[in-house]
Amino acid sequence: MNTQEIQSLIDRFLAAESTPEEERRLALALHEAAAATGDDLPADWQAALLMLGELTLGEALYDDTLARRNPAPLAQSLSAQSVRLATESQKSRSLRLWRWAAAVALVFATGLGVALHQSRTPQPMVASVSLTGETSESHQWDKRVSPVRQDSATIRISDVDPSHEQTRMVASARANRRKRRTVRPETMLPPTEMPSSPQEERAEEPLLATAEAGQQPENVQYQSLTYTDDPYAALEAEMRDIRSRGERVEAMIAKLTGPIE
Amino acid sequence: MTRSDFEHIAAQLRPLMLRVALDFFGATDEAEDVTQEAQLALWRYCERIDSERNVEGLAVRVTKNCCISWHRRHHSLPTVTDSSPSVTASALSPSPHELLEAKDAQTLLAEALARLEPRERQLFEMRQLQGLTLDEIAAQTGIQKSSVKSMISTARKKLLTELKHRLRL
Repeated sequence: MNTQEIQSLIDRFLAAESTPEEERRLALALHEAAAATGDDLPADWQAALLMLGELTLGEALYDDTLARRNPAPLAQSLSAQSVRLATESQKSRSLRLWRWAAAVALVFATGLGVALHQSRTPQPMVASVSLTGETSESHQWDKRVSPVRQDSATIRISDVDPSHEQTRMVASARANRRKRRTVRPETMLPPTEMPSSPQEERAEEPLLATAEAGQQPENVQYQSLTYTDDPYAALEAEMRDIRSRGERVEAMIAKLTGPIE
Repeated sequence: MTRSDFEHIAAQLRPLMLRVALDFFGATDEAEDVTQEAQLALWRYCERIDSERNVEGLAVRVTKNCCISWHRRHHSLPTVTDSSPSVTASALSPSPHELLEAKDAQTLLAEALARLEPRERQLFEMRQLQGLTLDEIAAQTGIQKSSVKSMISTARKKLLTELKHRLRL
């Protein structure tokens, strides 16, 4: 601390404007000045040192000694603080990048979800077969086949391989449960046959499990069966449908994200 | 505060004072001795303490001073690791001549303080000896902070003039 700083602190001390910390610094500076100059210290400074008192000087010497003995903690503290600030800044940048990435991913996911949802709409039905009756060893079914498209082939239930019939029935029954929830006109049951409660739907589960296990279910009503003659053609049609829907989605996105006129 | 009052709170102050001493010495034995010495100094001074509210701050100040005094008496050189010019052996180990001068200085200060108004002297001691802030003094005395500041400033300027006069003699 130079002479001007010491004098400035003495003026603040006399005006009762100095803080305890400033008074400790002043006491230490005056003590060092007195040790360095001997009796040549100005009278003002000697008087100020006396007024500051032994307690203030002792406290200042204590703090100074500890600070000089352990400079590392302060340096480590500052270093840790700078590292923490740098880390926080880096985290902030990363967070901003992640937010942008999440926003872009959300947009793509939404578009993809819309495309997939539209592609899962039911494929053109070729034939609708409704079966009502009790299973028995003689396979006596009440069959009702209704073609829905003119160019599609009507499949008779007798043409179906008996070994695959049970599996198809199970699949059709599962599909029908889903369709009942989405309400398709072709597969809607009369109101009296519709399950009226979730309990009734759950009651089908043991029957399906029985059929999957290779046993003959009893008192099962199958509403409809859907077959296609060529699965590859159906797949191609589905792919064309997906492609056309994708193009529509792309056009819609381009329209939405295009420049504003 | 009476000495009886101080004896009641001495046990509560001891851990705080021991912590200050341990920070300085690191060794338990020296810290215990210094704490004992600081408590004795506080016991002697306690009748001049106005309130129990800020006795902890004064206890810390006294303990720090006792640490420095103990160090001066028992160590010829400071234990600082670096040989900084600001803290030299002479700074922490006063010679007998310096001790005599310090005693003379205390006498000078006591005589100058005796010439102050009682209120000025009380506020000066609360600020310089007990280490209270202006706000704390205002709260304890019921005097406005600006008045406290003005009276302390007046007391310091009077003391400066008196001490300068006595130092020239």
